[in-house]
Amino acid sequence: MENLRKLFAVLDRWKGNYLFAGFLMLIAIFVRMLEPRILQIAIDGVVQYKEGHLQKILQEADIVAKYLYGILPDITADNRTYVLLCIGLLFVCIATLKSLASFAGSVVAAKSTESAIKNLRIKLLSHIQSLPMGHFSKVPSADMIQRCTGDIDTIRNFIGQQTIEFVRLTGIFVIAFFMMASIHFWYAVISVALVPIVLGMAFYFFHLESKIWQIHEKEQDKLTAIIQENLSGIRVVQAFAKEEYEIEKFVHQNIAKREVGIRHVDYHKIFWSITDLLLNIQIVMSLLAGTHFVLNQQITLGEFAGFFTYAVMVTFPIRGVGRIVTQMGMAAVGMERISQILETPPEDYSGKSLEGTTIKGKIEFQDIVFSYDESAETKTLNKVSFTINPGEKVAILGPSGAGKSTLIALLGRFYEPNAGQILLDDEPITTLEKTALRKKLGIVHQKSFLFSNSVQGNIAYMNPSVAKEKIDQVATAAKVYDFLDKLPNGYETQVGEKGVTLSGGQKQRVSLARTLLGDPDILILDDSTSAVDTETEFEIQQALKEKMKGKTTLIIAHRLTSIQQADRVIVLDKGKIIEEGTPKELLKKDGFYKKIHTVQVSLEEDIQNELGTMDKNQEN
Amino acid sequence: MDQQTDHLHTGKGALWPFLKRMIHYSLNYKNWLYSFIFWIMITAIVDAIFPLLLLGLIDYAITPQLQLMKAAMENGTTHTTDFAQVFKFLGLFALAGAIQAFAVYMFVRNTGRMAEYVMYDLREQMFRKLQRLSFSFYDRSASGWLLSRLTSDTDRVAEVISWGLLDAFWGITSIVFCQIAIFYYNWKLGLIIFVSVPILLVASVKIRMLVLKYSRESRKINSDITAFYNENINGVMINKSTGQEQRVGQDFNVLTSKMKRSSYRSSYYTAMYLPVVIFIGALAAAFVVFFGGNMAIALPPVITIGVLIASFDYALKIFLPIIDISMFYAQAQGCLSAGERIFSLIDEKEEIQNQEGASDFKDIKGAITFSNVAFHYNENNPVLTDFNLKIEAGTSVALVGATGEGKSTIVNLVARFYEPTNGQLLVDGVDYTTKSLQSLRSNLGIVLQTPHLFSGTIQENIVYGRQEATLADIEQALALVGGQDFLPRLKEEVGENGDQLSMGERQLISFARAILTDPAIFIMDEATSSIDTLTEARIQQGIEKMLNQRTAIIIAHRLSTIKNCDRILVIQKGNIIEDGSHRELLMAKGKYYDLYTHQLREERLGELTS
Repeated sequence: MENLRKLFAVLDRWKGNYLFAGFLMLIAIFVRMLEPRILQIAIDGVVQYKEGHLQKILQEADIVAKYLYGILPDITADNRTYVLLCIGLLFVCIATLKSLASFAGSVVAAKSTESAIKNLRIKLLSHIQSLPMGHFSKVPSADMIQRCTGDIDTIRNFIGQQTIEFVRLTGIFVIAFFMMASIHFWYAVISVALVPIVLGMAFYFFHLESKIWQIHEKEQDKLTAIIQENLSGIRVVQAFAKEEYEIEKFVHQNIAKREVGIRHVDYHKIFWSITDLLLNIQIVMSLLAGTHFVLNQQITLGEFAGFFTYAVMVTFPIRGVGRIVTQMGMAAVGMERISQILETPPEDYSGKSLEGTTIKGKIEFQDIVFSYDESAETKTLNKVSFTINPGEKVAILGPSGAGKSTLIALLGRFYEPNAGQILLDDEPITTLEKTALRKKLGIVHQKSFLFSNSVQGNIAYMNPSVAKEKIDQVATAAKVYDFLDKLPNGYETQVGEKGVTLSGGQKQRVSLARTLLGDPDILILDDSTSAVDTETEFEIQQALKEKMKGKTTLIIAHRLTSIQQADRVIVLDKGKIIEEGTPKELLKKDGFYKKIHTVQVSLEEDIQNELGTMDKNQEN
Repeated sequence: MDQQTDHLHTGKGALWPFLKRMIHYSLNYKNWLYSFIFWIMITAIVDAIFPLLLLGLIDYAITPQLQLMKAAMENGTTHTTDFAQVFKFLGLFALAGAIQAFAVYMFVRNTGRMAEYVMYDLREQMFRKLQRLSFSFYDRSASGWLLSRLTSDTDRVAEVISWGLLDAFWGITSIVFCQIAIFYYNWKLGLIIFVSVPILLVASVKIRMLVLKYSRESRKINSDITAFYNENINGVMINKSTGQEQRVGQDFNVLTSKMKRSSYRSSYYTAMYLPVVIFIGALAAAFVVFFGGNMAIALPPVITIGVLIASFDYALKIFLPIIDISMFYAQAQGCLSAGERIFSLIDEKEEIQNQEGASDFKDIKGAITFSNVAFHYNENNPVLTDFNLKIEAGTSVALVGATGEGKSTIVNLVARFYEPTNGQLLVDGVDYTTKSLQSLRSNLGIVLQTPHLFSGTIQENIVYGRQEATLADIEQALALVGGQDFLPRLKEEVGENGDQLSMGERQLISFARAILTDPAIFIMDEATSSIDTLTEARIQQGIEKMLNQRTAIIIAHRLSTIKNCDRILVIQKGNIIEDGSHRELLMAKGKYYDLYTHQLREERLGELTS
């Protein structure tokens, strides 16, 4: 019920329109119900005219028929064609009215549905954008995308189709039943006697059916997963000549999917044939009763004919109700899943705006304690304190999982520390407005992510209308410029799914350029040149040195070449700072830094010796 | 296919050839196909008979009784109603109902089965094809596109030739029989309905095509919307870091507005559809009431009341089969492009396949010779022209040079992922195109730059190339690559694409996987560039052992990885510009010397500036 309320809340300010659409639908149904009456009065008029009992018929006719007779001119010997023409025209009028009302109803409903869904889509996306990062690590992105697409479609169907269909079928049933009852009550009751059974069966069946459908979907998903995995690993498959093995795996699942599909079909064959049989029995029953009443002269032949049309109108759609209700159940689930997102509190975007100010770049971590999972025993960061002075270039080193990226996530307020505080230019960052703070910190993330846009579009992401010179400038610094001429359309080359796939290093260079475009006051490189070759990396560093002159720079890296520009190195391990100092100082200590250094250098040791003599020769 | 040709699959092709080809798939299941056609026709005929039975009931059972009753009343006698005729017609009614129920059972069963089997066949055919297509195909095809051909495209196409076909047959049979029945009783009333059919059909198809146009449009926008969500959920960190959360919403507004417009239009024409066809049907029914009424009222009556009712019924129902026929047409039009995509994949030429009578390689020793090899991915841009290289069996060769100079092409040619466009590539002195692809590949151990793991356990991934490997074999392979740590973790799941593991771990496993097959030729394409220094050091020792007595071709960006190779080739613009051992090349002070000293200098610079 709660979900149902939420479902209708989706309609938002279009609720009134939507209800109006429902009203138009009901009018259409009511008018439609007059159609069989035309047949009825035509038949009775004809028969009675022949037999001269017109007066008697008029007295005995039910309300609706009486009213219709009232509109028509009296039948006399001369005007029977005229009367029939009137009946024909009346029928056309009714058909026109019905068509117009149902068309208008559907259009109004469609308009309000599409508006409401558009609204919901935007609301959902905007809300997602403002959710804290913690949410994204808990919910897999595929699941969230499914909610934004599949579940929205389900809701759209519910509002735009199923509800309307449900109202229509119920309307038809109720009005048709009253129409029949107005002719003859017991006849009407007999004509719908089996309806509850069929309805019950339909509910039961579609309940079962939705279960088997879920199994079907599961098997289908498994099949999709197999294909997907095969395609993404096709190079490995072919390299190992395992095509037959893959085919075997695929065929196995393909069969499983087919068999569930057939089970699903088998449910249907039983349901449709049994309900068809029952409904046909219902019609025979109705005819038998009708014949009885006609022969007992309780109803006229015209009423009998009209009645039969109603009976058929009522019976067959009943089968569909089960399906609609089952599908409506799915909408409740979909709504629930979407509400979960919408009800997750967004990040707090309040705080002091930094717009127009410049950050000097003093960063202070004071006893920071943090873990992604608050109940976890071991903390990701445990009482981490350090200070970075304005303009300093600091490298953070440590094995993976030490908490390096977490430091940056906390600095950007993507997460909030469990204890301790972080100061930026001596102000707690919790008092600063997040968006502005993050813009001031130019963070280049570890995993470079590009949007499917042109290279230029990606670089100018923060400011699409930026001057071309500016783009050239950052592209040169990040060494994007160097590979532009290798791309088919230079700056305009589309990247991602719909275009060229850039190499890891190229992607990293574009993301760096994107960050530089924002003119950050502090630059943070989170292992963001790892896939760039050392030569290019060196050149980038030279360029950054110029660009970030006097600005604070934080570098996370595991390659020593990446941190050779650092004034100071902080070594982090298991959430604690274990070493800190200038690279020179650290080399003297027998710690982590030294160890990494030795490993990298020892790889070269033999050759160094070999080279030693040559170098000397050269220097001489 | 690739993006360029995908634009060609716009569904503008002819409907008939597509249907003809599809029907071939259905004809594999002749029994089901003919059976469902038979039973749906029975259903349609019974549908057409129902109004006739009602007609019979009224004219032959009820009316005579009513007349007798009236006559009796006028004579002042009582009349006992005779129900014999009534029961006869109602009995027939019940019989027809039972036949129909059985027919429904039969056609649902057979159509459903056929749909599933055709889907199955299409999917399998495409999947088999995909396994045989070469890298050049995958270079230009996005995997998302390929996947949808085996899933949604297949479903839609199979639906058309099963349930769609069923609808079409029902519709056609219905129209024919209703028409026959009504002409039989009265040709004038028959003519009214006869005239209404083409009008209905034209109006139907016209509106349906409009609906199709806009629903196609919204489907396209829908995939853009999905992509947009996908990007901005996966890239939410970037949006937050760059403070673009608000702007994303505005961009999305453009897309959703487009979506709203096209799905509204599609709904608009859908909403128009039924009222229009029902209205046309109602016009026909009005004519029937007028003309039929006149004929029934005439003295003596031209038609009976029963015929009037039945004709009215037919007129009101004639739009139903039209709906089904036009639906089939629209459905078939709608999935024309899906069909084209499917068939283009099935018809895709296999660029690399075994020549007729290709024999298997037996015990490859590993001598590789490039003899005047030329190769290009695209004609205007040759990668290799007249390339010559002889690698003795059991020697390790490293390829060095900048990206895009042709190193990967050389190893891809050795693995026969591509074939030379000119010249020959000899393995153990034999042109490898005369041998079977599988026998070559099963003798290769290949480690690629980005290690791809399949979901499953670590163990399953290691034994991928050799399912029958024992635990001891696995242990040995792991020891060789310095991955002993994995031994207690063999049953651990690696996750989709191996994303539960770090890049270094994945690469270690892919090394173990390659070495487990004990390949005669070992190929590493930038295999160490994605792993960290510590892991590299571990692998380094293993590599040396692995390369012992094995032919190996290694591309590495870090020169430390390759210093122990027997030969180092410096490749530039598809040519070998230097060839020799590490020591020899250093002495020569050429390009390799430059590269090497440069790398070392950088390392040292790191020390000096600190």
